[in-house]
Amino acid sequence: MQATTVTATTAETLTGAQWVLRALEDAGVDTVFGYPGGAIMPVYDALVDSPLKHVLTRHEQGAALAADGYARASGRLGVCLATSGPGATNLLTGIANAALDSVPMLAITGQVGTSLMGTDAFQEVDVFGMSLPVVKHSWIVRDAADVYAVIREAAALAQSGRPGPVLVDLPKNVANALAKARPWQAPAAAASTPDESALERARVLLRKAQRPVLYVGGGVVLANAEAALRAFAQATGMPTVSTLKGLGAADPDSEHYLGMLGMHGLPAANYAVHDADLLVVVGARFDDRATGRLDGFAAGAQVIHLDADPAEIGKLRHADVGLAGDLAGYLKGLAEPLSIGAWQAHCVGLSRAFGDRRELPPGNTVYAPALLHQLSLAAGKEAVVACDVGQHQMWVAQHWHFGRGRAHLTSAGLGTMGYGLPAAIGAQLGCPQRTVICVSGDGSIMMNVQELATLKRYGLPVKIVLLDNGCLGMVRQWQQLFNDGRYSEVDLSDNPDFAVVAKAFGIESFTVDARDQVDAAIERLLATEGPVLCHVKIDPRANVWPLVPPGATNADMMEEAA
Amino acid sequence: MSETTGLLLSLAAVEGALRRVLGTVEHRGFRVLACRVLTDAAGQEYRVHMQVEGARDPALLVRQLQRLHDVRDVAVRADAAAA
Repeated sequence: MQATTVTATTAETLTGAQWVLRALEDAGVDTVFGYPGGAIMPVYDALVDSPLKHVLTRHEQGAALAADGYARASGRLGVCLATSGPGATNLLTGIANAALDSVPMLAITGQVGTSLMGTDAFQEVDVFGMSLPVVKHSWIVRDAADVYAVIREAAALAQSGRPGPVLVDLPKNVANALAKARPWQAPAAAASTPDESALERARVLLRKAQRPVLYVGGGVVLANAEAALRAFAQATGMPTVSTLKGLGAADPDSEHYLGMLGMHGLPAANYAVHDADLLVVVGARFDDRATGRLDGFAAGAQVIHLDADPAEIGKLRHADVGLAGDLAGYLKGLAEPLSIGAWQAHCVGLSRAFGDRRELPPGNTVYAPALLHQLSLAAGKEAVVACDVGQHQMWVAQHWHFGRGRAHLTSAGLGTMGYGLPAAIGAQLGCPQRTVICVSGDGSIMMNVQELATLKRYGLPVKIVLLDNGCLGMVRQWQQLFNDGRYSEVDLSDNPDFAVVAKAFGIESFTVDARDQVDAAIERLLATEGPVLCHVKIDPRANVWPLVPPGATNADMMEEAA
Repeated sequence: MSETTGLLLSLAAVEGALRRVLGTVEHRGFRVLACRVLTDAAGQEYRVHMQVEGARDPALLVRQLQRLHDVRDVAVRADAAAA
């Protein structure tokens, strides 16, 4: 990258800690999430005089995941702070979560003084070393004069190209030292030169294809290529499928949209991909949850792979044409009508044949897929839904109507139980005008239940839907299906009364345990002005269907026995 | 079937750069058979000659190394295998 813009720095002398905050302000940051402690105290002292809004979570993991939710929903940089030692290690799951899902995040950790580093001092861990595999880059700042430039560079790097988390470790003596700041030069945006030769080869493949499928990943929204993708899909009329993270990028109301593919994908999507002769893969990385057995995945298809990260092209599946760089530009260059009427009709037929799969089972038990679909329609397409991990996460993916990007926050890559509530807190702070709904399970909510206190403290109007089946549902489902019903440590029937728990945190709550209560529950959830928790008791035997068994291809989906 | 590949890398000579490279090589499925590191006269750049072994396509490893922030250049070099 070529440096062209010089950021003016003053001749002021500030402490390293003050330079941290000045750099964040200059980078456009206005909200940070964190938790104080010994080694980060100089930064917290400087915060007293700073215009930055600090959000105190009740655990550092909550801070990192809230920063993640803030970034995903708002499209801005998420920032989290923690002290050294356990504060820093508690951030790591959130940092890894951001790495796996390409979320722009800046984590700033306090560190013991430089003279104590490497001596096993109190609350000293090598978080720089521990985080190396899960950061885009990281720094230990050893001179207060470098603090401003490092924070600016870190903030820029986290958001450039393929976004990701970065970490800055700040020793306490550096945070306390006075210095003038070394000037920092903003890198010019890297010019993306389209590969015209590859583009032409891609056009040839597209014109020849008889059964093409557009395969949409989370990289589309990250690259701000949502409009270009929709224009491409409309121009070509290609049947379109989405990964878990890609949901919302494509138009769900198009007759050619087939839904999510993969392990819990919709049959129409999986069958169309299986039979395709060309995949146009945009911002997706052939994750194993999407592909099933890789050597049986779209085995007869050629591949055009578009991605912002050249390292993803050909990583797991050979690309006949790789287009690395500006996704929107490439999509515009490829958008032309195709003659695939018979294939389109076949895929529309698949979609109709397999339906929306929300038929209510007998009885008056709450049926989660129907509740979630009904809630999504009532909340509208501007609503943000933050999920936890488990069966409810897949039901949301299958049954929520995602009309836009940055509306679905889900821990897709790392599968972090406990993600939903802090992510919803971050999303609500990043997007105060939007309705934010957290869909959680009785296992997941307990992983970060302390963040109910954060919700209450800031009066955030997050609506929590807690689907309680009294067990670890996804693990139970796998033990039922693949371990001959040998259930091992999945029973959570001794859960606390979650409505009472919420009330103890000062949060309005109520319980729903029958289908005929759902309409009123949804109305109450959406009408409540402050935070609210709706505790929904569901059938503990309910499973997520369809399911691609481990080691099978996506065409070998298991369905619920009649 | 494993194959041996010689790599020649130029890195910024900064804290963590070597750990990042070695960690990436191993995490992405390769074994380091030999590694020699030289620092330029100004102390600004590492020249790393590596011999690695793995069953995966070395071109994928090269792309994973190229995206590291400290890495300035990566080349597959037959003579690097003799490091």
